[in-house]
Amino acid sequence: MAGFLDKKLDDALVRAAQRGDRKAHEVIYRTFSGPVYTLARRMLRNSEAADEILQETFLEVLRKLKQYRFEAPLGAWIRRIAVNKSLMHMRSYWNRFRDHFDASLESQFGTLDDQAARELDIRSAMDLLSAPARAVLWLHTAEGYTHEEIGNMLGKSPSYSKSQLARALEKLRATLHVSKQVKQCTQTQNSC
Amino acid sequence: MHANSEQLLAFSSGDLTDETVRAHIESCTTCRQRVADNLEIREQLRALPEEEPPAAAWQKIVTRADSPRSQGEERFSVVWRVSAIGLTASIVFAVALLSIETEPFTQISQVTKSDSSELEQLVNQSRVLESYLSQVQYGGAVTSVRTAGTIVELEDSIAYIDYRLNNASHLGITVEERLNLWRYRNELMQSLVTVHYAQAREKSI
Repeated sequence: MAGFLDKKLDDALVRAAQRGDRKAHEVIYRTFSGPVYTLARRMLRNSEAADEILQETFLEVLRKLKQYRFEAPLGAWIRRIAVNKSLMHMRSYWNRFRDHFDASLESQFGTLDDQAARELDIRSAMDLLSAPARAVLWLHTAEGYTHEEIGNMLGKSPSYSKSQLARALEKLRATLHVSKQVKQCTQTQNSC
Repeated sequence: MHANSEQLLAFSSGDLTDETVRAHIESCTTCRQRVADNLEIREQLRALPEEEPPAAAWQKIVTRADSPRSQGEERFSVVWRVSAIGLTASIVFAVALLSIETEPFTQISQVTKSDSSELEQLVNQSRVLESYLSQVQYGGAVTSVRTAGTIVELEDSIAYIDYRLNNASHLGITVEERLNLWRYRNELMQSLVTVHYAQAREKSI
């Protein structure tokens, strides 16, 4: 999976976007919309919320692009906005409740090959995690943030981040283990 | 005794300082299997394919960016950062907080006839506070450890109340207890808005 930092854009194009060139805006969107949407989808569980975060993130990117100083990669700058938007969404009581409700509606059906089944397993297992655990797991494992950085973003200590990650991995391990056992039982049609 | 999950994580990242625990993990089949499982899970997470954004999203963003409301928000954002925070925001929030304070929870109890209408009022009040909070939350780092600690404590308390409210039926929480939880939640939310507002103002100065 290519992430935020794997995608590069020419400085001239970014400068054109800073001057308000709508075509350059669209190139930035096409380049980074996948990573932004994926990040939001992993952190927030439901697609409707991820769509909201996608829009809110790029609205802020368009509004604040003139403030971008080329000191860090553009992907890192956009990622920080997307993470902040996702965390703000998570903190809202109304959204927490809605996420919980929507996730229960988003079950997926159909015949799956092994790879798709493994992906579905891991995504379903992630859905069982608490919002902070899911956020820490994704930010550390997939986005590469350190525990210090995650602690700062959440307004908590690095130890909190480490503890959430450890618990998240333990819970995923247990869930995936049970899922594997159930599959073995149904495939071999034995009495387990 | 096996290593706990945090020790296993520290072992994987090379941060484990306790030599006894390290020696145990290296010699224990169960612990080594758990370390291997964790690594496999992390690999599976990293290997998840990128999600495809909704096709219509860009058009929606452009429409919203071009709308007068969005442009108004941009102007407000600049004003907020430069100087008018001390004036515009103060007035808005002073009025908002004043309106909440002039309607204390005890008075709400007296004027409402039934629990359900009081609950509705408390929920609406909470929505308003959520809206204020989303406007005042400052994006940068907190200015002091003490402020950060206060924010964390308030957020944790609110999260605990939310947990109880979301699971009220399972936990056997009565209507009166729910009302109390909502009242307490609104008090905490009000404090959280105040802390964030003070911080935003401090940063602007």
